[in-house]
Amino acid sequence: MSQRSAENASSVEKIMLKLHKSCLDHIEQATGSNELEVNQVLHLEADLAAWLEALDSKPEAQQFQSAHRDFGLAFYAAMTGLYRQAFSTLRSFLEVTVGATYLSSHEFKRRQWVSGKHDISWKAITSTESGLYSTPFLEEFCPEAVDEQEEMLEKLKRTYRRCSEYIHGNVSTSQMLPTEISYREDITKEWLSVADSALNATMHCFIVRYYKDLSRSSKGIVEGSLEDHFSHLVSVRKLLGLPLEETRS
Amino acid sequence: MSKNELQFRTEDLTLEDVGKFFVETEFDRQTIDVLKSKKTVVLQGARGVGKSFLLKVAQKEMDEEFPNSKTLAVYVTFNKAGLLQTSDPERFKHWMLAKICNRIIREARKKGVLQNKSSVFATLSSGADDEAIASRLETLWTSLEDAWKNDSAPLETDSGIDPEMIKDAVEDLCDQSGVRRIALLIDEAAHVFIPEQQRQFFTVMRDLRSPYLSVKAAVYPGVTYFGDSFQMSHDAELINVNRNILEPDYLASMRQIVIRQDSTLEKVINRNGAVFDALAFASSGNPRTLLKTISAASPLNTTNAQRVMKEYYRDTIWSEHSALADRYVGHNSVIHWGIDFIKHEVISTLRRGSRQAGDHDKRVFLWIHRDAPAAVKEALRLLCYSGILHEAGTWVVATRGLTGTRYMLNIGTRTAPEADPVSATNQLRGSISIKRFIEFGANHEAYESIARLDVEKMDEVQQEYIRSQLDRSVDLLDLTAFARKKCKELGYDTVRKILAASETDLQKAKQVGPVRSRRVMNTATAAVMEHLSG
Repeated sequence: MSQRSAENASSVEKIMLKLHKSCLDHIEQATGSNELEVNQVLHLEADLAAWLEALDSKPEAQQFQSAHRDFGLAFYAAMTGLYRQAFSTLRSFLEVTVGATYLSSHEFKRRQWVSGKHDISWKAITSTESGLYSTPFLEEFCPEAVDEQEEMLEKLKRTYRRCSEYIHGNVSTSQMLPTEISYREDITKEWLSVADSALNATMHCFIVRYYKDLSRSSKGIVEGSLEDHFSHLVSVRKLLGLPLEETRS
Repeated sequence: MSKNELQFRTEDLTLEDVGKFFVETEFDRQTIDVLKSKKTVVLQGARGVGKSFLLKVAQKEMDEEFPNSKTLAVYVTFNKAGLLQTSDPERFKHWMLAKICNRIIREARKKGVLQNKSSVFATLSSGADDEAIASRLETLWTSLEDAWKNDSAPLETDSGIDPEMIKDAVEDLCDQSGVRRIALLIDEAAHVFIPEQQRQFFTVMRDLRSPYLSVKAAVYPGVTYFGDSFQMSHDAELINVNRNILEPDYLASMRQIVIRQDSTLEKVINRNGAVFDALAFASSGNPRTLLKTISAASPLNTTNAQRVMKEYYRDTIWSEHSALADRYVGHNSVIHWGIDFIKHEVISTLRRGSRQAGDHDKRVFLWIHRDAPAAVKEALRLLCYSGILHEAGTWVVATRGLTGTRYMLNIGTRTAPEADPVSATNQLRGSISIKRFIEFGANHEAYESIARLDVEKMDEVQQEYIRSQLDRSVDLLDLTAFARKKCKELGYDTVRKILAASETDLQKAKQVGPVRSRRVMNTATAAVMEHLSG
């Protein structure tokens, strides 16, 4: 550590600690007033961790792990009152996990992306012609989900949009965000709700891309999360081998 | 969910949707309150009457009240149970207990009362080791999973884990986390076609009961094998979830159910009130049937409703029941006999009566003598499962003081064969009396083709299922000592020998008349029937 004057150090430290104190107060309020939502998000995060365990041996596992850490930091930012950073990091979590999932089917491009020679484009990921939820993609990886592609793609895109609104400083949101660190229940709840959607959307991408190819024991690891969060989807009931009733009328 | 699309099944709904679509009647409120209470409850009703929906509403309300009530709602569905092909009862028990443990663990984690072992925050706070210790419940779950997934010899699947250990682990969890109690909401709890699994379940249900854990189970009608250790009236409160079509607010609440799902239908329903009422009445209190038929009759008008009623109640409802015979091969003849009996004996008789009298026969109830052959009762049990019949009272006294069971016939099946089903249904409304029924005695001629279980004619697969049963001694049957003695005197000392005989043969013993011989035959038949479909 370089030499610095004690006076100077302590003043910066004081400023930072004062800021830190605001964050501490914020943590107390944010965790105390949103118990249900916070626990639900952490429950989903634990399911994400189970997925990452099941995908541990994939070449893209490293990107997933790094995105997972980003999620943890986004959560921390939301709880400490760093709202814009919380939305921004959440969006990057979404981009990296969904992007790596999509590019896992294009190994050459994926490697180029990792080494910085290829940019990942949200447009390509969500393209209805060739993206993760396009018919050709689903037909190869999870034909069961073809009927639900529109609904699921819409959910994914909406989650991304909600993050972006807070990053680009749209008039509506930039006026909403506080200029200092202070607790705002509405924004905290909004972040938790978007985080819930982001984790759900991510895991659904995992399902359509990976689930059918998982080994029996890996399926066992993630089965609980499928049943818990997605069993309202016919496709997931098919994947889990649950009895399907005729729904013809 | 896309707009203007009616949802027929609760399993297609998220918990959020459930809250949106819930139309509360007084009965629903009472039921949900009981589900939320400490009581052990068995919720009984045919497919589509709304059992899952009520469980989910109870779950949603308990979730929302959790911060104050500290009552943890855990929804579990056993809809995969029938697919667990196992002749080893231990393995099935382990599967059930594993599933229950896993769902409790997940719900506890969701509510923040159980620490998440793989949290990303442990990684981020460098070096800080706050490794959560696995709760006893998690350890049990792991062992149970290993036990039921182990396909090796049955002997090795005995993990030594019983419901008592789960109760203790739950008590631990509650004590450590401040949870007051756990309400276990078990959907599709007992498989209708596999009595052995039913017995297993009810034993577990009884054994799990504790101040910290209350079990609520949704079952189909016809689940009657409670085992030796479970007594319905003593061990649980039974709630029948059938919307009573004779209640004054029945039509209004059915209307609300549809409008709540799609408010754009309100105008058209109000314009075609009589058409809607006919469909609601025909659905016999079954919301899923109503939603299906309303959806198929879109746009709602008389012509479409006539068409849909004919399609659904003359064809679909029967083919769905008949499809069960493909899935549960052993029950094939019983299922087909049931369809024939209702179509040709019950409905035809009522229609013939109407034509002859020049007036509508208003009866929609039938009564079956309690000593009717076991196979007949089995057929009726399965018709209740499909909602073609609804049980409407046991020990009902009919002509000549005889007792039997009363059933209500599904209204749509009664009126759809008419040329104008909508009018026929509306004519029937308001003139139905539970006191008038068509009677079938203990020896009705319609039973002849099914009365005897012909073991010799069964194919090899079925023979295999029931072989062990056929060789059982008469001593193991649930008969009076007198009846057992008489069977032995005549040389019928096994189930196989009794079934090979006829009731007339049995009557050769002193003091054995038609009633006693029928009861012996029914007991032997029922013992075998349990194993018809594995």
